Amino acid sequence: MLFLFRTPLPQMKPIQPTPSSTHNRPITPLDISELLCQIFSYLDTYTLAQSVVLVCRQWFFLNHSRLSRTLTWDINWQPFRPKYALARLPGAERLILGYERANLWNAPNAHGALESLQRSQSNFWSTFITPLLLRQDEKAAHIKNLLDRPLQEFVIATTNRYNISWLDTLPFPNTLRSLTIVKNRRANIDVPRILVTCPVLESLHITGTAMLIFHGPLTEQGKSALPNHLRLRSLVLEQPRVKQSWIEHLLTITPDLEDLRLIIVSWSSRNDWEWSRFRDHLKTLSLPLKRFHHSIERPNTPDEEYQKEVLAVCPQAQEHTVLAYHFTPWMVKTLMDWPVYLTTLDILHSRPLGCARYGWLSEYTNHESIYTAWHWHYLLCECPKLRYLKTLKMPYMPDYMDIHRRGPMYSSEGSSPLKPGIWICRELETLNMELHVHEHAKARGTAYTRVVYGYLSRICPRLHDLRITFTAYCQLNGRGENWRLHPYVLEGGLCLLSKLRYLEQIRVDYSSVECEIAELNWLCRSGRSEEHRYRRRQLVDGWTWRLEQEAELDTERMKNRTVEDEDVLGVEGDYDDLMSSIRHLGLLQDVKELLLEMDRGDFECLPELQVVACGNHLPRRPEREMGSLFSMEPPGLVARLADWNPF
Amino acid sequence: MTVILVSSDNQDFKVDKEVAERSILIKNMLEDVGESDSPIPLPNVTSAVLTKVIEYCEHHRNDPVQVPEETDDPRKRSNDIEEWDMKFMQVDQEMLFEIILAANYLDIKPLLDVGCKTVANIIKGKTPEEIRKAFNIVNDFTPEEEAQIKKENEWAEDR
Repeated sequence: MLFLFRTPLPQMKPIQPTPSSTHNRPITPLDISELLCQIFSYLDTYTLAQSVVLVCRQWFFLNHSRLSRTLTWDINWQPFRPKYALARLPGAERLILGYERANLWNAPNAHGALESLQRSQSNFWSTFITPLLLRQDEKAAHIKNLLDRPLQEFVIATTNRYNISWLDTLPFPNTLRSLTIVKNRRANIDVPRILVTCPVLESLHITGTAMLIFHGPLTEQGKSALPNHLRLRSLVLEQPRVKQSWIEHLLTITPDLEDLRLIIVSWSSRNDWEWSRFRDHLKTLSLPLKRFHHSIERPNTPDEEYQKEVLAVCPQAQEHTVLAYHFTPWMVKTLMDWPVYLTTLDILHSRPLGCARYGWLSEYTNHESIYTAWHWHYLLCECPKLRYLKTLKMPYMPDYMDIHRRGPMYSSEGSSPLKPGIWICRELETLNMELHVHEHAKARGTAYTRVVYGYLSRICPRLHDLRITFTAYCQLNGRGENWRLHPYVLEGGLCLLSKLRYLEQIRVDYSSVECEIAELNWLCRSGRSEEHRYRRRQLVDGWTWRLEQEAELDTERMKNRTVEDEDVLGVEGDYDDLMSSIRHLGLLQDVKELLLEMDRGDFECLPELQVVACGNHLPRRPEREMGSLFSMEPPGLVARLADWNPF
Repeated sequence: MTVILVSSDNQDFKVDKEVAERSILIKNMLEDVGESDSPIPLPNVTSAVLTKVIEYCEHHRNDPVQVPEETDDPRKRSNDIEEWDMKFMQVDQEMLFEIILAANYLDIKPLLDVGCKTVANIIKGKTPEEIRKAFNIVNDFTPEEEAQIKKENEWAEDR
C-alpha cells in the first residue's frame, strides 16, 4: 500500500499509517490507493478537509499532502475577526485579501492590521502575523509550518478606491508563483521590484479600472534592474503607464510567455507608445503566445488595420479580450469568421461609462455608441464560434434577455422594439456580467431581475461560476438612483437560479440587501427547513391578485405579439424543451412554479454550491454568508413565535 | 467479427469485436494474438459483472476515443454523469465496486471514471461517521488524533 507521508502536523504526535486489513473479505476499490485517489480527485477541498481526512488513517494520509490551503480574508465580512483569520495564515498556499476603505473606518482592528501591513519593511510575515500570534506560544511551530508550505498565490482584491501605494514596501515572499492585484484607484507601483523579489513568479496580473504607473527605484534603474531570465508565462497589465523600451526589454527575458495582455497602455507626450515598433519587436522574439491583447489609450476610434495587426499576432487564439469601444461591426464579423472556436471572451470597459438607452457613451467623444450593445447581443446569439464558450465577462443590457417582450407589461416607459434572439453559448461555465440598469428597465421593478435570473438559469445550464454586478453608476438623463431595484427579494426571482446543478460560486453584487431572511436563505441548507418554506409559501399566497392581473396582461400581450417562437430562437430554431422552459420568463408565475418545485422532496437545490456573496465582498460559505447578512434566529424560533398565544 | 470472452466462472460471452475493444486490455490482446478464434479468459471478472460491463460497452460502442483534457483545474467534476450512465450505475454497492475493479482491470477508462464519480457522489455531503457507515470503514484514529486533525483543518470553515 502506498502512503504519501509528509511532515507531521505541528504540535502533534505523528499519526502512523496502519494499512487496512483485507482478511476475510473481498478486495474493493477502497483498498487500492490509486483508485481511492481517483475517487478523491472528484471531491472539492471542503469535503476533503472536513470529512474525508477524518474517516480513517489511510484516507488522511492519501489526502493530507494534497490539500492546498487557501486563506480568504475580506474586511467586509461580518463578523470581522482578524486574529481568527490571520492565525490561519501560516501554512496557507493561497491568500486572497479583499477590503475597501469605507468599511475600514468602521473596523479598527482591520485598520490596525492593514496599517501594520503598510508599515512592514523587512519581513512581511513577522510584521504582519507575529504581533497577533506572539501571545500564543506557538510561533516556532507556525513559522516552521509556513516554511513547509510556502505561499504560492496572492490575490489582493480592492473593491473600492483604496490607495495601494503600501505595496511598494511589502516584502512579497520569494516563493510566489502567482500575484494578482486589482486596483480601482490610480496606483504607483514599482513593478520591477515585484519581478526581482519573486523570481519564480509565473503569473502577474495587475488589473482594474485605474491607471497603473510604473515608478520607484527599480523602475528608475530600467533594464539593469531585471535578471536575465524570468519564468513569467502570463503577464496582464491594465492601463499601465510605462516606457515602451522597458516592456520590450522585459519580453526579451520572458521566453516562456504565453499570455500577454497590455490593456489600454497609457499614452502621453512624455511617454509615447508606438504600436508598429512594438509589433516588429514581438516578431523578433517568437514568444509561444496563445493569448494576446494590445490597446492604447487614444482620443480617436482605433482603425481596422490596427485591429487586424493586433489579432494577427495570435491567429489561433481561443481566448480574446476586446475593449468596449473596439466592438464595431467589423470586430463582430471578425469574431464570427474566426478560424477556431472561442473559449474565452472578455469585453472590457476601461472605466465606468455613462449609459445611453441602447448602448454606452463613448469615453472620449461622449457620443452615444448606440449600436454597441446590440452588436454584442447579436454576436452572442448568432456566432457559431461561441458554441463552446467557457468564460464570458462583459457589460450587458438585460433588455435583450426579455425575449417575449414582457417588460412593457409592467411599465411602458421608454419601450422600444428589440430584435429577439437567444445566446448560443450554452456550454458557458463562467459568467461575469456587469448589468446596466436603465431607467426604463428599472421601471419594470422586480420583473427586470426575474428576466435576468430566469434567462441565465435556462440558457446557461452548465454555469459553475456566476457573478452579476448591478452597476452603481448607471445613469440616464442625469438620474442615477437604483432604488427600484430589488435583486434579492423573492419576487425578484433569484431562486430561479436554484436549478443550476453545476453552480459552485455565485456573487450578486448590489449595494444593499433589502429583504427578509426567508427570501434569500434558500441558498443555504438551514434555510430549506419547513419553517422557512412556510414563510416563502405565505409570501407567494400574497401574490394571488397580482398573478391574476399578470395573466390578463400576458393574454393581451399574446394577442398583439409580433414575434413568433422561431424568431426568438434565431439560428437555433429547434429547441422545444428550451422554449417550454422559458415560456413564463419574466412572470411572477415563473417564480411561483419554481418555489413549488423547490418544496418537492426530490428537488436538488444548487447541489454543488460552495460559496456565495450577496454584496460587494468576497464570497463565503452559504451558511456564513446568510449568518452575516441576517442575524440568524435559533432554529424553530419563527414557528414558535407564530404559534405563541399569550392568552 | 465477434470474440468470445470467458468469465471467471467459465461462462462464454460472444461479443462484437468493436464492443470488446472498448477494453484496452482486450484490444491489446487481440492485436498481439492477431486473427484467432481462441476465447479470451478474464479470470478476474465474474459473469454477473461481465454482463454489466458488456452492457456498458454496447451502449458506448460508437463513442469517440476519450482524449485527456488539458486543464489548470486539478479538481475534476463528478456532476457531469450522463443520464444513461447514472441509471446504469444504480446498482448495489458490491456490484458498483466490482464494476470499478473490472473497469480498472480491463482498462475501460470511461467506465472507471463514471464508477469513481459515482462513489465520489456517495461521499459528498456526508459526515466522516456517515462515510464510515456507508462503506463499512473502521475508525482507526484515537480521539486525540481526530481532534488534532479537526483543528488543523478548521481553515476550510473560515470563509
